[in-house]
Amino acid sequence: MSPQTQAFDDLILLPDALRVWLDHLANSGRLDPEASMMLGVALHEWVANLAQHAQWASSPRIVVSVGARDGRLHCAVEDTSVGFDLAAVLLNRREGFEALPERGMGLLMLDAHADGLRYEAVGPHRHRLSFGLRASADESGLDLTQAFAPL
Amino acid sequence: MSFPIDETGEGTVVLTVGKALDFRNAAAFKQACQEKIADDVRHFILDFSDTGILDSTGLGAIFSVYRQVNPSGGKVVFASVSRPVQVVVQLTRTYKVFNQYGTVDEARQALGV
Repeated sequence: MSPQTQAFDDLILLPDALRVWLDHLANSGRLDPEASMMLGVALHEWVANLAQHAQWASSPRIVVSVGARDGRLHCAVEDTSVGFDLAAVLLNRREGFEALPERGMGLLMLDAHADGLRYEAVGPHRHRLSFGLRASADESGLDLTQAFAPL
Repeated sequence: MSFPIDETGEGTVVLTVGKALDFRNAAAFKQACQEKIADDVRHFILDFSDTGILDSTGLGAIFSVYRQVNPSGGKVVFASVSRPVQVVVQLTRTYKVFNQYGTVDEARQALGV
């Protein structure tokens, strides 16, 4: 699959626009439908995080790129936010984990989908998230019910 | 954004989730459920037949409802789970908590309503 790239500017409409784009890639045969869906689930968590929590140095803009490498789907999302320490937040989420949490699951869910998840500055007020998509959600281990006992 | 709710009796409702339950409408979902809980509804059948997006915030809202009804024996069950929702359920292992049924009618039968 040759790299496919799309830019998005409206954070509220972004989840729907992203899904439309991924469906288009699947319907045009450029992306496996199952992979498109799983990528959509993972990317939605990231864009939701950006939409709710990111601080923007300028007008919000997100550019999503999808391609294949070494037989695996790879994705990059560049944004114009001021960035944050993703690794530290993930560590904090894992340490503060409780069963059936109401908030704070999104980045853990993204991490469970992804191989080699990285978020780094790539220029002044430009950051890039990059990851490889796991072959299936079952490969991952994010049990939100662990240690849960019915109330 | 509203969620169509069908009262089936016996303290049970069928809530149609619609195309998405995510950070944009999770608060409205919780509000709709809490209003029903205030009316003594204890069992929720969530119809995901048309749902393309269920994100962590939406799932958290479902957890919130569950926490409110479970202490008094209430249930939250999933019906007509679409493939995107199934991916999220599998990823988070929440099938351990929420029973799933192929259709709303099957869910109703299982709950005895």
